[in-house]
Amino acid sequence: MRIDGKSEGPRQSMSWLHTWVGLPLGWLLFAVFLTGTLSFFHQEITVWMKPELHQSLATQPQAQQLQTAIDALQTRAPDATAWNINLPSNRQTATEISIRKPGDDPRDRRGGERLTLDSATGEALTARDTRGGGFLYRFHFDLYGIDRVIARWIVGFATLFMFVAIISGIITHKKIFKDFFTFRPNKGQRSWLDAHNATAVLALPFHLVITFSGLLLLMFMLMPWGIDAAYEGGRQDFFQAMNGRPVQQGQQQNQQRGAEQQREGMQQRNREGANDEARAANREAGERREQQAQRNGERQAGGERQANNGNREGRGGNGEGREQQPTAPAAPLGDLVAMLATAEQQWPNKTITSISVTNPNRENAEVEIRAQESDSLLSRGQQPSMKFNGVTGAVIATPEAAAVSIPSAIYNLTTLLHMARGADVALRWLLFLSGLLGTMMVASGLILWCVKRAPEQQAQGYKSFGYRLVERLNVATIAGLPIAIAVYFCANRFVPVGIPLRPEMEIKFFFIAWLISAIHATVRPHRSAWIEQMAIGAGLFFIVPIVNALTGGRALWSSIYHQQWTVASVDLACILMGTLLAWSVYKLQTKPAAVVKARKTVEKPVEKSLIQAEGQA
Amino acid sequence: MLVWILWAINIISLSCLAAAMSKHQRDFFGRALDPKQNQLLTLAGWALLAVSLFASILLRGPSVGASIWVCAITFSALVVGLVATYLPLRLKTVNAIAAMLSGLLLGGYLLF
Amino acid sequence: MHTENNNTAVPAPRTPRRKAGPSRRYRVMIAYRFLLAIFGGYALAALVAMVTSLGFPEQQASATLSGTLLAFCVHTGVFIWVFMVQSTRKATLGVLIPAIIFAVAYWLLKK
Repeated sequence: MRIDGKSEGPRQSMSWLHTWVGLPLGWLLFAVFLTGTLSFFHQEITVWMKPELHQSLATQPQAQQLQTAIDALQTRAPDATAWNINLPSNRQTATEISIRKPGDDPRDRRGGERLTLDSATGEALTARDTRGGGFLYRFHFDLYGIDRVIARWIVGFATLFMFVAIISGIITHKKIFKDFFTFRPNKGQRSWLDAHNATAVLALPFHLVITFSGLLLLMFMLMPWGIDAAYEGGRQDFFQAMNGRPVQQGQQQNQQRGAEQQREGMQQRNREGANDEARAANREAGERREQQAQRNGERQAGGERQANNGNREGRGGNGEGREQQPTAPAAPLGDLVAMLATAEQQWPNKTITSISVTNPNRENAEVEIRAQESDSLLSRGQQPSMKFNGVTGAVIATPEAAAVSIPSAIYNLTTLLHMARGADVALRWLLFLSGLLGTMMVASGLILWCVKRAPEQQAQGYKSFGYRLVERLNVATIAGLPIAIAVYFCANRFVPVGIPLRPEMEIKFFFIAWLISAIHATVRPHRSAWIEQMAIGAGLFFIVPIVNALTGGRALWSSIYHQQWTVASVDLACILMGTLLAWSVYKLQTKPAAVVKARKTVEKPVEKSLIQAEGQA
Repeated sequence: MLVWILWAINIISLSCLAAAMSKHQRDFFGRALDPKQNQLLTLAGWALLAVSLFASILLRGPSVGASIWVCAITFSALVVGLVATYLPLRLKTVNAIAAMLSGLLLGGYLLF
Repeated sequence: MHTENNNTAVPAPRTPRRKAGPSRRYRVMIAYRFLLAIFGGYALAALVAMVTSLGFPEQQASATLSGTLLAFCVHTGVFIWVFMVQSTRKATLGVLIPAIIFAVAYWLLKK
């Protein structure tokens, strides 16, 4: 794409494309990458942001935790239609229970009573109202304050640009394997290029998977044409077909599946992220409700949450509901602790996280125990689960999962990895660290754009408008977003508990901090802006664990001592962040910018912090 | 545990591959290696990579095993890259530590 | 962003370019290519998805999903193609001709 129209090689044009496809949405991509990376731990962040839950220490054996939960449920709601128990794990400190009563509207996904219990005492804990990690999670694909559909189109568009940037980057780079271990420090632009290449190449499989699956997760919105062409009923019919069921179904089967759906509903509602997702899907589904209601015979497609949701909504029109199920005669509930022991024996290396009981204290009671880690990421239904007869405790055989076709295996593997669903702690951390590499890749790419054009700006004697704009946006995003996140964490503790619209207030602090950082980046000289914002960010991240200890959260030494890693890891990650930012401030200050090629050396030290961060990773 | 083993072992395998590249040899050894040594290093590197991938798949199934392996070697490569940049003369020390670590972890893994 | 720093191709002289500024013709060409890549690419991708979905009626569910997966790759491929080729006319035809072929195929399959 040379300006003089002379011919150029494919690598030159790809280099041009890489630059101009990466830059315009680069800042958005940075924000999506960083908040998305944190979302691998959004559940942990939410727990951290509810310091009331830190008092629950899950040091007891699981059997005891389960017994405590059952006792609480038996006293509170012996006549419920379903119970769900989420036991403490490496992802939550307390026991969560939810109760579905006979009168509840089964289609209302928010319905049912939810309680958080101290895992030792069974005492109900009331946590402050906060969006917690859910805000960061939603932000990474729904942004904030604009229409959901528009936001997703914007993010989807940015994802496509990212995909194009990755492919064109690969073509440009060419010597991927030859330069695999090459990094040349303290060489200005060369070092920036190496840093950009290293972060990109080392985690290349991750970048490809995360970007492609990002498109796939939005495919029903971005690319519905194939599905619409093949299936008259759109995605609902498509999902039924995917699960190997004929598209036209009789209505009477709805009733049979009622119990199963209800249990699934309980399961989903009890996971923070799923809950958020469900709400979104609900809204989305609402728009299609009318069309759907006209279509009879729509059923649970299984496997895909959004489709499930749409169906459930849609069935409202059929006037068929689970509440019409007759109540079975009473029968004492079997020994859940023994069932748990059976499951533990079956899965010696897995974390059992959830136990759900349908129709407790009835003859038709059924218990399902689920574990966190999947054995296979190729199909969605393979989260390990065991079903028991709720009265006798006999194991109910679950049908073997059907074979998965290659395209759905690709779809499932990439999207499940994207959401870290079914991943164990180690894989979750690896994904998180790879996400950090991706964030650094985007950041170094943005900075490289400036570094490369610095000599040209120098020669011309003044900085052009476009150059200044990019410089300032870089500071406001790369330094500003971490500041905003740290402020969000602090606001969580300083916004008074109990005020109306408290979660929105916390989020306001996030955006105000970001706005101030953007203004600061505009009015201060470039180099000072970097140093000052990095310093503020470092300070804030160091303060976060102290604030946590002083405002009712469990202090770091205590959480480490009691092995409450859910809380400790957030504090430790903040300290790590603070250290990285402080180190880059030190580097920025010790390397004076007053060399002849002033502008060029300005950002050099920051890049070292990126490399250092990789080292930490 | 498995992740740590994969990480440590593949520091060794990727070091072998890096050491077989002529551009790094002067930094690592102060001289160029002869083609036979290069071949040996390349072979050892790829063999270790393949064996660890195979073991990972055997233990955790194809999808989970391969995902963990790919993610783990990313960070092995990071270590090798940092060593090649900042401590090229300590390559052998780093590898000795990695070998010891993987031996210990592997022992622990097999025993328990 | 990665240009050849040490070996291939001397970097284009920048200072004179600055002074002149990109010509209008150049700007229009770049804008056109971006529009072609974004909208033309999307149209071709959608057609590929539709034809693939309908093309294999005995395994329709699999084919539909494959078609959608393929569509994203096609869109990316079109992007790369549009900026890879020298001549703007060639870039246009490279998108237009496959699009016509797939549109006809879709029309035939639908009948």
